[in-house]
Amino acid sequence: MKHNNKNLCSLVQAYFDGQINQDDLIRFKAHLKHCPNCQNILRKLNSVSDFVKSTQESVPDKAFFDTIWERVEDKLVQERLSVFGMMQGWIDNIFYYVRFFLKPALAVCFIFLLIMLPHLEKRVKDGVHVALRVESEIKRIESKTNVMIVKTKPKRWTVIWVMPPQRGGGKSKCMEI
Amino acid sequence: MHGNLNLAVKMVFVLICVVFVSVPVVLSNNNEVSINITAIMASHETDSIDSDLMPIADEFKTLFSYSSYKKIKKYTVVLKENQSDRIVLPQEQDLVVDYKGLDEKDNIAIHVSMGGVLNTDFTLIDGGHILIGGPEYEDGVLVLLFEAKF
Repeated sequence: MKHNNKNLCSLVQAYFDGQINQDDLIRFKAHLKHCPNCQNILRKLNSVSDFVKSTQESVPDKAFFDTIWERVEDKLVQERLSVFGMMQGWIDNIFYYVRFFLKPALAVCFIFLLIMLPHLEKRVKDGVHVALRVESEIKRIESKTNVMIVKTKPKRWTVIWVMPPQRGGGKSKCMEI
Repeated sequence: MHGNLNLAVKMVFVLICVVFVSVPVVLSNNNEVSINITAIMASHETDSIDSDLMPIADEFKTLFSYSSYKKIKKYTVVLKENQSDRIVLPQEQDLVVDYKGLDEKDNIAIHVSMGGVLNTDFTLIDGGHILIGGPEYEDGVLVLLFEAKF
């Protein structure tokens, strides 16, 4: 089959697709060396092909799935190591900044302690009393009638119970406790 | 010059500390106590306890056999050391409260005189309670709940 130059140019697509017979292939290759038009077309086809190949997703092979858990574990270990590294960095920073803030911080604590000391002392005293639950203590009692003093168990409250007056009145009795 | 500035800064710091320490002490040495006296009528009229008395309802149930506790009136007396105040109780009886100061345990010492029927001296901690009861009132008895805040 005879081909002129124009016919040989029409084989460029078949050549690019690899669908060309042996005779045409020899002739087209000889033609391609001298035909800038075919060279240009072939260059464009190649560039389009490369672009399409580059945008295609790569499908992982079987080995990828076989080793996936090992790689996940490795990644976790690396992340854990990076957290420790970060903490180490913080600790180093703390020691670095302590040099600057230690004195002011101690001064602030000292002032705070001085301010709070009277209140703390009172709180502690009250706390001791509350803990022992001695809410009240009777020191002295005087009455014309009988009086009963009761201390409750759960909270140790004190109750002074004044009995009804006796007929004809009574002498006032006093008791120091 | 620099040394003088440092000395001035230190003096100001010490002055601030002294002010901070002394102000609470001065304020706390006000020596004022607030004594709340709640007059409660205990009776067998109903089975109800006033909502105001609910926090101490369990204590009342343990102590007394009454079924009804009704708050009649609440008195507040604010006293300085060696000051006294007189209130008139619901059954027209006088009650004299005398604040005698702090005792050796820093509790407040109070003297209470109830119409010649009762004279007593007792101490209370901050927030402490004491009950005086027994006088007849209407269909029940009168219970006085003393509470101190200082």
